[in-house]
Amino acid sequence: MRALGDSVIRAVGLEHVYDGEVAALGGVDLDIRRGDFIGLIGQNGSGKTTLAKHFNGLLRPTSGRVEIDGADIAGVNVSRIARKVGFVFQNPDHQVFCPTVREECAFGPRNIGLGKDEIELRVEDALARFKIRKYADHPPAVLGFGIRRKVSLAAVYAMRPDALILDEPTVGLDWKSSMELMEVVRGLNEAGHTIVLITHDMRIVAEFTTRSVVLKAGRVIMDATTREVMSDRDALRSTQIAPPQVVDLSRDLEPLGLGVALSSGEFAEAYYRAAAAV
Amino acid sequence: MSFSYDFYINRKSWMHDIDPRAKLLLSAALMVIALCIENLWIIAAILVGIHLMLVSAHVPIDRFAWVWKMMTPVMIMIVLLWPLFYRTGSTVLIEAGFIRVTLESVLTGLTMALRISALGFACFILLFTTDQARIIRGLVKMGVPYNVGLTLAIALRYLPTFYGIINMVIDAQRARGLDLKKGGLIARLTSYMPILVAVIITGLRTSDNLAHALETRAFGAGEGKRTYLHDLKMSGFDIAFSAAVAVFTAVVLVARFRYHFGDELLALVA
Repeated sequence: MRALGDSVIRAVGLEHVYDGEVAALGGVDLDIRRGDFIGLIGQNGSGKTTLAKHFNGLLRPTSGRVEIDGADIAGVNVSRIARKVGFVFQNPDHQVFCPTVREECAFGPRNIGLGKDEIELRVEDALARFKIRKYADHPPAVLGFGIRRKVSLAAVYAMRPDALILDEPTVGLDWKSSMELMEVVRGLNEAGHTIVLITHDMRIVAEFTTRSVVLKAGRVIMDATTREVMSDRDALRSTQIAPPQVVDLSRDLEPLGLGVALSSGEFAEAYYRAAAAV
Repeated sequence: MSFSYDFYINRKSWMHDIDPRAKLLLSAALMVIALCIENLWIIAAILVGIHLMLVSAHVPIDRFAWVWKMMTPVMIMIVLLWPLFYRTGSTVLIEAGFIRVTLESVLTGLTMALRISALGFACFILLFTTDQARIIRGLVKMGVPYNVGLTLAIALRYLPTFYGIINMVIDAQRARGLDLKKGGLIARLTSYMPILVAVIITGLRTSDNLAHALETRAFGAGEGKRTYLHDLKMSGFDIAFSAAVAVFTAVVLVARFRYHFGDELLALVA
């Protein structure tokens, strides 16, 4: 695993109560470090999105605080935080509105006050990274769902935030499209972006993230490397999360000393290694 | 507390139990009376009466306060602007250049403002105490075509959904650096464009999907008579209530137009 940098986002004693009635977060402490690739997991209603919306100020804590680069963001405008923390919403339709994909990607950079040349540079980079250049002059609203999803990610990426929060980016995508998209996201992480991924897809979590944070009823019940989290079958079961089958299989074959495999590739490698040793 | 889309307050009360058709009649009658009467005291009395009805229906005070809060700016505008354009009356309060404010014009403005709030509250009697489905069922029973009733029901049903979508779109655009509070009035209005367009796109997509969902459930397939799981039936009380409302309204209208009851601004008897 790569060495991680300093703290990018830090939640301290974070509590959130909706409308003074519904307690959604009950004291979350979390330190997200530069270069982290985090899977934020938990069953529906466990507080994943509520927690993530605090990271860019869309929600404000009922008590506790959120720091970005060590500074408390209380009172800081969301549009200012957007330079550092990008948030891609679950439904791309809630985001796209421009007449062309190119303009859609330029919207964020323009909002944060970048110059024309820099905007063009970033838009071209975003179009290339997400492989949507051929749609650059199409209206995003009429493109297929998978492309609209890519456009929504590219549009946030074009702002080059330090951290990117992705809320269920693979929902509604087939496996191949999901993999393609996640490979791009992995590339962003390798380029230095901190990634927080909210998802119910444990295969994606196992295969791509390096750290997993498990939420249950508004509290963090596990925060460890993804391998450690995936290995703790009982803890996962208590939150109704089923690890990917390949994780279960490698655990069931523990007597062979395979270790916990997070992907089929890892499993095959460990299996052949064990077989060769025999 | 949020009052953004559904006004219905689920309580048990005599007002809640009344048939929606009777309540529609009550609201309509109160509006007609409020529009015909010119007298400040009678309009104030109508408002007090509506408030008493709402209190007896266990409508919480904060809901009243919300309605008043919504209507206050309009009422203030009316009270301030009315005297400038309604120039009759002999008791001059202010006279400066073309501005001539009389006591009568101020009182007429006040009456008009109270009338507007009475009209609003007359609607809220129905909306606070009747859930949307029952209002629609009442309208259909009164002869409104089922398709129109269903369209209205769907429109009301989707208000909370759209309210949620609007909030979501606002969040999504703010997360992309859109500042809705920056600049002057024009800049602020323009900054709502991304939200408006995204909401319209989502709305069109939703309506298309909904139309397909309705068709796949055979909507519009048959010409047979529709039956209802929860049919509305006027009880004896509902009939008596409706009759009382009708008689009361008729008496007030006859008194108003035949005997000039309530056509003076302040005096109760002409």
